[in-house]
Amino acid sequence: MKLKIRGVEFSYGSRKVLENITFEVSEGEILGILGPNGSGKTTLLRCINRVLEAKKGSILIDGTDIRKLSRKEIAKNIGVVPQDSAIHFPFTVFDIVLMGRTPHLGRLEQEGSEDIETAKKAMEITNTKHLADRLIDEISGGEKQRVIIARALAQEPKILLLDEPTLHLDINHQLEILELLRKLAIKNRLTIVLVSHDLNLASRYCHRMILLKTGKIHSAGKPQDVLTKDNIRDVFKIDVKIDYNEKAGILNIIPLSPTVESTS
Amino acid sequence: MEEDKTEKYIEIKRLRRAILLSLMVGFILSFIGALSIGPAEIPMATVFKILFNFQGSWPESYRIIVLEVRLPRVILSALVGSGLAVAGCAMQGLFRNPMASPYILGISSGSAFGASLAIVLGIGLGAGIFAVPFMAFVFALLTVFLVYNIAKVGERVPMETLLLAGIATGSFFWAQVSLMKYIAGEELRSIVFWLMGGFWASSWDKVIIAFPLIVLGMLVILFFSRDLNIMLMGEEHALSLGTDVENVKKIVLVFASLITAAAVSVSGIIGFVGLIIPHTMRIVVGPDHRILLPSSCLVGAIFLIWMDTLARTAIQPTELPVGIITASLGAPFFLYLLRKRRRTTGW
Repeated sequence: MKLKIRGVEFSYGSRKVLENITFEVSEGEILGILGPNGSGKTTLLRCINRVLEAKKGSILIDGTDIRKLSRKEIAKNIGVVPQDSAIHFPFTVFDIVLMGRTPHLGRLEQEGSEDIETAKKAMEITNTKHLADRLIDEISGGEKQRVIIARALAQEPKILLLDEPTLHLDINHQLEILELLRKLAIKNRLTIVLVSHDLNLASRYCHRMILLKTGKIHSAGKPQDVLTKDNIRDVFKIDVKIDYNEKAGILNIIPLSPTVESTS
Repeated sequence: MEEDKTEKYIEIKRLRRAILLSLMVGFILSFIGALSIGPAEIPMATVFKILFNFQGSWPESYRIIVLEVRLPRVILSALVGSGLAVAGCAMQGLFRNPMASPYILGISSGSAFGASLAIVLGIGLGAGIFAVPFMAFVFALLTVFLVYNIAKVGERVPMETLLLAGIATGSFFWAQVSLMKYIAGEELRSIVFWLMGGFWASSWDKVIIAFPLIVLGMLVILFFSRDLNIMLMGEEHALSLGTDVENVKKIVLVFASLITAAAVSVSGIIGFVGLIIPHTMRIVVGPDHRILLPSSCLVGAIFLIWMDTLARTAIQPTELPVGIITASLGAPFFLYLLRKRRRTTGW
């Protein structure tokens, strides 16, 4: 499913947070949204699934303006993994994943065997099946993140939005999550939008990325074209050293501390 | 391995049905049991026959005791117990806070002010003996209306603001209640009694007023069980799962308030039930509102039926305010549960 963002603007009161944001994401593609704190990354993600209402511009999924869709219909198309997943209630992992079926169920309808199958499949993909009867507040951060992804997958969405899904995870679990996303994009043909703070990992797993600076798109394109020395200095206000392994297509961005710079 | 988990799920479903069924039986037995207990001991079988209008040989006074004296009182205590438990459960879910109770929006102080105003001024308002419940009800709803609109920002109602607005408005009205007490003179006793809450002034009229409001409120809240589950995960999660968060908040708040206002206006301020019953049931049946709400409802009813039975029989010929008993017996039981569960997180 194709996601098109056209001229989106958003403001909190009189403070403009997003200005003239335009980009597209295709089926099977992972798009990274990068930028410093406060550049509008999370706000943009929230506008895409209408948690926040864009003041201007439109968001189209396969040509349909999401403003024409009910919240339930949006939830059938867009799955979300929000940044904050603090769940302090003793729900089991299976309960949580089954909640992903909500947009497909009537208000008083019980989950049927099909819903249970879908939930199980989502847990298989995310490798969380063995956790099914554990309590959500008793599993590790990496496991919890995978469970929330499983819940999003149980919605059977075509588009997946993730807000820093690797935050607070160790490097092993970061890679695990990103490998999973790659698999979902390539094998399951999902359209994926990912907010990230990790330039290196994002450059490895995103097909394309946009770099936000104070609510505007500073640059967009392939990782190696977006994450250049100049762009990074311009947006993040730091100097970096970049090793680009063309064969492997891997960028290695090494931040230089201001003191290092001043002594050189 | 993989089939296990699914079967477990189905098993839990079956277990839930069994829990609800046994609570239902418990409720019916409590109901009839409470009708048989009192200064005149009437066998349960006789109570049953009287209720269903069978013929038999018992003093005519039994019929009057059961139908006119005890029945409205037991129905009212069941209604108030279940209503407060469901409203409390909904509030705890909405606020994602175990300290939330039906009185969190200042309903109790608002209605207390309304009631004490009616008592002190002795106003009839054309409602005669209903002046006190009427004023309590009106001021309860007025308070919620006030709190809600103070907290409202555009189309949204942030829960933190709502909570704070409720606390502030509540303390304002408590101050007015104190003022009323101060100037009450001979009526002070009436105010104090009303504030403690109880069912000694139960009548069929009160049942007729409270029944539709409380039952309707409970049904509506029950209808939103799944939304309440999802909203426990946070508003952003709920929105992304297709829940219309602001609407659910509004509807649940309105109907929980309606229940509470109706309960308070017919029985005064009975504390503890709305806070502890949902909390206790959460420990017993888990956080899923689809089982939590109905079981809180039944246990709330059972609990208050027995507490009120104790209140009217413990020190005959007078009676104790039921609020004193609910807290004295309920709190230690709750503390026991709190200690017993082996959980480090969650409620």
